[in-house]
Parts: sequence; structure tokens; C-alpha cells
Amino acid sequence: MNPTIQAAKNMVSIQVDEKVFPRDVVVAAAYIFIDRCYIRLERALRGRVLARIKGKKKLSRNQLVNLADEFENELLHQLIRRQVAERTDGLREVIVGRALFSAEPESGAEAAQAEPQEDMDYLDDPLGIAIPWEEKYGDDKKEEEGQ
Amino acid sequence: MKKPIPEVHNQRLMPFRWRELDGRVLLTGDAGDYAWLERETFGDFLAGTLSKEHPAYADLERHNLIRGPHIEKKVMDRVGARSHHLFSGPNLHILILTLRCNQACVYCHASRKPKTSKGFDMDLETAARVLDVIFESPSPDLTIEFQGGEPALNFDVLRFIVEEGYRRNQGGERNLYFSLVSNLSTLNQEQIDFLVDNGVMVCTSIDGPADLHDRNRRFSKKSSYKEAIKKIRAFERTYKRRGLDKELAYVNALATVSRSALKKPREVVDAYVRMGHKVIHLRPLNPFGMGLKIWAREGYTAQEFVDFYLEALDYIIELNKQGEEIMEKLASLMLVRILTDEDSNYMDLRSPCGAGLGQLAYNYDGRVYTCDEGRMVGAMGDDLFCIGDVHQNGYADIIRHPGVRSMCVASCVECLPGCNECAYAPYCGVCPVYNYIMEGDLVARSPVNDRCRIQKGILDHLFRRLAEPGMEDLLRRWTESKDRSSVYRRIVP
Ligand code: SF4
Ligand code: SF4
Repeated sequence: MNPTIQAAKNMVSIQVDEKVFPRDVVVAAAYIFIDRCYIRLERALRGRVLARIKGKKKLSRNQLVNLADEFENELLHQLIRRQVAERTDGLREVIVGRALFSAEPESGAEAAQAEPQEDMDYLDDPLGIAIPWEEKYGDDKKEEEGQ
Repeated sequence: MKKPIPEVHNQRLMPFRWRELDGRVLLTGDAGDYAWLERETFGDFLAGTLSKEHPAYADLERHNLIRGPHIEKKVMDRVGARSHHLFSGPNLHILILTLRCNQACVYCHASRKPKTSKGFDMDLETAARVLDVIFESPSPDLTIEFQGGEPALNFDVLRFIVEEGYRRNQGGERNLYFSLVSNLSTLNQEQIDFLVDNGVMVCTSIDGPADLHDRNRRFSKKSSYKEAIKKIRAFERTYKRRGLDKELAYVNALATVSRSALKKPREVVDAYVRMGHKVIHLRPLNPFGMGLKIWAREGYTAQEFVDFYLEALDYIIELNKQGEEIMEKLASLMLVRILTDEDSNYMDLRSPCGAGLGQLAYNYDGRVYTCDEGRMVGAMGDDLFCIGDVHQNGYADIIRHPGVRSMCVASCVECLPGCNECAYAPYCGVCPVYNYIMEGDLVARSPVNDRCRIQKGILDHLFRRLAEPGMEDLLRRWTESKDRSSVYRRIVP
């Protein structure tokens, strides 16, 4: 990513490869910084996004380097957040849906009376307990017999 | 150099998460089962080469980490039982009766107002509207908790809510409980009688021995410690006069760990033993609603708290071995998640957390928040966690506020980065309000999140200790809490 520090402009510029970090990830990461920085995102050459991050307060060179490091960590966090969100989409819908439904003024009352063991939409295996490990985690290698 | 963990070639694995601890591997299952493996054995387990004759194999089978007949169904049923909170609406309703307080604690949050201030008490009209909303909640259990400021400074409204609450629940459709979180100092005997006769649970703060408590909780020229102890004794006498079982009827206390307590873990525990208390709840300071200046003066790092906590915990375990009956509450809540399938519905250790769906907090002026911590953020001028106002909204509006859904999504441990693969996910909970205050985002960056560090530090230690011979029996006793509901009922018509 090779950040460029422009101390005189109180700014650091980072080019991000969209193949590694999709654009919505870059936008989400940039957004986290808007309380302390002014951010400008531009299209750069060859599938890259250029993020120009300018401190609202005067920053030293070291602080600008730290800012670039923080931005890179934030990209990683936002990427993982999206990956986990996609992977657990169905599970989240079940849990959130179940919890919200139970809190509803009337329908919730019925759900609250039911024993969880008898009211099992949550237990239609949203955690994927019944799915074999390799199927669940996409390991395409053949398993060995034996255990 | 350590051998890398091999790839998975074993179709008989149940879903599990794992963590390396002290050179061994801890495996945990979705229903909270756990087992330890040596690193080598773990490799064999993953590779599908662990022999059935190996002692670890039977252990893994016993802990539902290897597929077998009926195991999947059994685990699914237990996951359901552990998630009972998903099947009830908000049961904890926190009412801020006033922002006024007669004490000035060093770590107090920004919303506190001096005792003589005007315009910061809940009035009767607001209280009645709050009750309307509470009784619209579908939860069969309703706990109304009075907080502040010092809630006892607005005792007339407290009295109204208790009496009116019982009146509205005359048919006994709900399991209705009341609790008061108070420094106790303003309560007179008539008020104590009212609280005891109406089954109001009482909780106070004792931060440790007198010097530490008085330093933290400033009370003009008086000793806040002596005042609290005097009133605890008055409650004990009153419980006794009413013939209530002293094992069940007592004043709960919790210790907020301030910076000055960090070097005194044993002294804090000893203070509770001297008081004759059987439960101590060691609570880290939290940054909600606390000005940055106060945090800089009173706050500390996660590691400092963990060091304090572990020394206190080990000391409490030592006392248990010597026959003293005392347990630490946070550890006991985690142990319930580890050793049983009960859902204690503790708001901060469930997934999703209690915000909105397990609890609602009502400010003195009628504004409603996802939880009291969200209300404290509101006191700092940021109403992100405000989800309604009892003067304008009914229960349905409040519960359907988009903020409730956001908090729910942001606290599903199973679906969060870092947490979803963490071995402690079946026992843990996250706090979106904390994350928002510390990181400006409802979702934590768990590797740098101090709350996560504290949970991990405590859970690491609990698992280490549980692995010691005989320790599980001792710690299991901490999960067997007595049902106190019988004494927290109205005992006058
Ligand atoms: S908060 Fe931390 S300890 Fe708890 S589940 Fe998440 S990553 Fe694990
Ligand atoms: S947001 Fe935090 S304080 Fe509020 S209920 Fe959830 S865990 Fe508890």
C-alpha cells in the first residue's frame, strides 16, 4: 500500500488495491476517521482507490505514519467484518429475528410462554451443528475413514 | 519450533472452536462443552488419526465434540436451552428516579446533580406512563429496578411505582420484582420497613475496607462506609423481625474497582468476609458517561484489572478451601455458562446482549434508552441509544425502534469478527455501548478491545483453575444459586 507522507500538507495518501480491499471496505474504513481527519477518496490507476487523509489538527510526521498504519489496520478490520457478516448472514437473521419477534407486544407473549424445546425455529440448526465439518468449512479434500 | 496444526480430515468433528493456552489446546462446543488436548493429540484429532483407544477420544466423545448417535440433536436442544433469553421480551426495566445524589463518588458519571438541584426527579405522571410501557412488555417476568443518582431521594415516586405496580399485577399474571440500587444513606426505618414489606431487593456498593470506600465515595464530613454498614444492619434486623430466612433475604453489595483498589485485592475480599457476605461482585470501572478527565484520573488498563481480579479470585478460592463460604459473582456468572445449560439472562453475558430486548432504561424525564449504559452516554450529550419517550411512544414504538435491531445485530457474538471464532464465544457477551465509547463503533476490534481482554483474561484463568484436580466440584458450587424469589414478594396485603 506504501503510504505517502506529505507533512507540509498535514496529509497522508494511501493507494488501496480494490482486489484486496473492495471499495465498500475502503469507504467503511475511511468513515471511521472522519472525526479526526478530512478524507478524500479518488479513483487511482489500475483498480486502485486513493485515500487522502488530512489531519484536522496539526500532526507530526510520526503521527502521520501512525495514521497510515491505523488506516491499514482498519481496512483489515472492515474486510473481516464483511466476510464474517456474509458468512453468518443466515444465522444472524435467525437469532435477531427470533429475539425481535419475542419482544413484540403480542406475538412475543406467545413465544415467551412456549418452552424453547418446543418452539424450535431457532433450533432448526442455524449454527450448522448437523453439517459435517468439511462441508461447512468448504474443505474439498476427501476425508479419511477411521474415526 | 512448534509443529503447525494440520488440516482437517475428520468428518466426525462436531463444530468446535479452540484456543491454545499454556501449551495445550482448549476445545469448546456450541453448547458450552469443553475438553483439553495436548497439541499433538489435537493434530491427530483434526487429521482423523486419533485412535478410539486413546483416553482423549472418550473425553471428546463425553463432551459432545465427536459426532455420534443423537449427539447433534442433543447439542441443538442444549443450545436452545442456553438461549432461553431469545424467547422472552425485555424483563429488566431500569428507572432513573432522579439524577440527584447526596454523595460524590470519584468515578461518578457526568449526569449526577447535587442533592438540592431542582427539575431532575421523575414525576408521578411520567412514572405512571413508564408503568404503562412496562406492562405492555410480553415478558412473563418483570423486574423494576430503581437507580439514580440516589433513587431513594425520590422515595415518594418509588413508593407510588411499587404500590401501583402491585395493583396492576393484582391477578399475578407476571412475576413482578422490584429492586433498589442505593447508597442507603438517606433511608429511615419507615422506608426500610416499606422496602422489606414490599419485597424490594436492595443492592448497595461496598468498595472494600472503610478507607478505600470512603476515599471513593465522598460524603461531606461523614463516612459513607459507616453509613452503609449501619443501614445494612438495619435491613438485617428488619428481615429478622419479619421472620425471613437470612440465607435468602440480605442486602446485595458490589465493589467497583477503582484505581486505588488495584493494589488491595485481598483487603477488598477481607472486607466482605468481615461483613459476613457470601457473595462479592468485583466490577471494573466502566467509561460510560464518565468524563475523560475522570477516566484519566481513575481509569486503568485491562491488564491492571485482570491482575487485580485474578489475585482476588485465587484468594477467594483459597478461602473456600479453608471452609469460608464466599463466591465472586462475575466468575459465578461465567461458570454458569461453562458448567451448566442454564440461561442466567445476565444482560452483559448473553448473545445478543440485553440492550432493548432484555432491558429498557427510563430516564427521569421519560426518555427511554436501550440500557442504563446507553442512558449514561445520553447524559454526555449523545442520544444515539435513545429509542423513545414514554410521553410520546408506546411499548411497540419503542421496541420497533431501529436502534434496538442495530444493538441486537451488533451483539450477536456468533456473528462478530473475532468473536465468531473465539473459543469463549459460548460463554461470553459483547457490549456495543462500550465499543461505541471506546472505538466510535458498535462493533469491537476485539484484538485491541479492553473489555474483550478482561473477559479473555478471566476466562483463561477460570479454565486453568477448572483443570486442577477437585476444582470443578468447588467451582460448581458457585453455580448453584439459591432461589430467592420467595422473600422478594409483598408480605403485606
Ligand atoms: S469478546 Fe473477546 S473473549 Fe468474548 S467472545 Fe469476543 S473475542 Fe472472545
Ligand atoms: S449495550 Fe452493553 S451495557 Fe447495554 S445491555 Fe448490552 S452489554 Fe449491557
